Amino acid sequence: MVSIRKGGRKSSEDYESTPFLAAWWTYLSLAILVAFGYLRDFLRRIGLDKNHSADGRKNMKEFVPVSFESFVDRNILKRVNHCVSRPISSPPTVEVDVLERTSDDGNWHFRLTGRKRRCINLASYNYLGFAENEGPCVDATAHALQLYGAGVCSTRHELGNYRIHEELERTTARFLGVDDAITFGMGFCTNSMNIPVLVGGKGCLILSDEKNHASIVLGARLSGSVIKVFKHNDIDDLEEKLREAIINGRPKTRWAWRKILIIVEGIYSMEGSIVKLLEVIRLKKKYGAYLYLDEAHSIGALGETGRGVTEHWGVDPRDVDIMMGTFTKSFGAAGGYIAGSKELINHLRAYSHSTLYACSMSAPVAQQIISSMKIIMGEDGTDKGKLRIARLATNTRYFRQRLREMGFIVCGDEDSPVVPLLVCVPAKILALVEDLFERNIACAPAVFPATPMTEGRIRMCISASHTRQMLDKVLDSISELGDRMQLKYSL
Amino acid sequence: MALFQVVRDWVQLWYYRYLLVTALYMLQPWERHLFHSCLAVVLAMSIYSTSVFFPKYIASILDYYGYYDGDI
Repeated sequence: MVSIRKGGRKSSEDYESTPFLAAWWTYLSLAILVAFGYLRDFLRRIGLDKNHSADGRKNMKEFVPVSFESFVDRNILKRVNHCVSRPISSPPTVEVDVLERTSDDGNWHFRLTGRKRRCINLASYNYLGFAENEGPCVDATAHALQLYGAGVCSTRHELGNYRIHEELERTTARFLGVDDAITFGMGFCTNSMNIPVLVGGKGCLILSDEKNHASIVLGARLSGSVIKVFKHNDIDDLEEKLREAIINGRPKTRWAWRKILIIVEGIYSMEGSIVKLLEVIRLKKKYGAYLYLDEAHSIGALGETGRGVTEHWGVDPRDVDIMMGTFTKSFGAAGGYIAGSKELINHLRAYSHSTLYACSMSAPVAQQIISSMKIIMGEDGTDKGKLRIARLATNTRYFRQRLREMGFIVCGDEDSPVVPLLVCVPAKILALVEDLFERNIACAPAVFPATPMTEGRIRMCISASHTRQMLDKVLDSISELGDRMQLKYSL
Repeated sequence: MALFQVVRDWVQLWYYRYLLVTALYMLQPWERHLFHSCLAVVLAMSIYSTSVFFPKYIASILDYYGYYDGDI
């Protein structure tokens, strides 16, 4: 347990690692699966087994590089295929209709059985419960659809800059407490298309956390700067890398770096941990680096009034140079934003690849964000927003505390609504997800390559709309299955 | 009969846990039969060779420490 106490807020991160016996069983399972994988590949080669995977043409056989990842996908991940990519037929609210499917050829092809199962939804990023198909947000969105239509048919620079986009940007800036904001149609491309614009060129260094999202990694690589990775949420490692960068300078010439950018996330989606923002800002000010904060999961979900991880720690939002976030998770819409000082946003408005080449956000989606943001801020005249935030906080604390008491290893900070449950053995992850589905609970598994090999987990996302009875039902099912499968690893 | 049921449930539970922990749960039935056959053959061979060599081995150890004064 690591705790930092400053201004009354304590950070508690449980990093109880995989127990030795579970790691042993994981490696044994992997050995058996790999052995059977080679056997099945051999049977496919000689023709006894039907080969469903994509294969090169006979005269180009050696052209495609063969990798371990495709071996894992063909022989191991296909066996768990029936638990991923499940089709749903209702909005991803607190309960969701999951369509049942069967497979006749070992999970290569599926067909729908025609039955539906109404499950408690623990897999959607629906933290404040705005992903619904009725209510004031939806009415406003339908009205916007009638005013503006669905498509925008242009980029921001040409004819795709609507009144509603400017209103959205003003509202976002007011929500976050900064000077200005700019929004984009897609959350992934907000990171990958704008990091190259901010730190392009020679002499820039990016210090990125180990567990950063793929969009950040892609943006950092596209920018062409030197990238150094520091250990997850490890302030000492970050300080060491900063000192080493400033003392030694650029690799060959030893000149000083032009810009050093630290990229962290508010809540990490696979770990459920919250960034130690106070320490990172202290380091940033001490060494003169810039800070890029990706609040994809934490905006709306943390803080007294839902303002994100800056409010959670009591930090002035103007201390963070570049605040980025997405509207997909807490606001029930799509798209992303970058917020900060006026100079930064003016630069992005002119030079961002997204504004130049990608179409802008659809108008009804923008209206959905504006309505939900106004509800959270309390500007619609009711206190529904405050109630949602409070319910999310109590649900999160209750769920995490009960799981801990039962003896499970739950990763991450106790305030984060992303709850990863450590279940290391691959067959146990599969059995747990299948059995929870039988009990009408839907949650998502996370295995290699998204997590390390011995840290497979199931990830549950708490929502403000979950009632106490639903959480109790989920907890009882998990406890019963945990006893049956010996998942209560915590000492 | 209650005892029989208790034993049967216990065996079923531990067989399920064995399947989970060795990833046999994820394999198809014919793969499981193949794995069990190989395991049975290896176990049978070990038990046979142990039963052939074990008495003589124990006798030679006891003889080394002087506890056994007979023919080895």
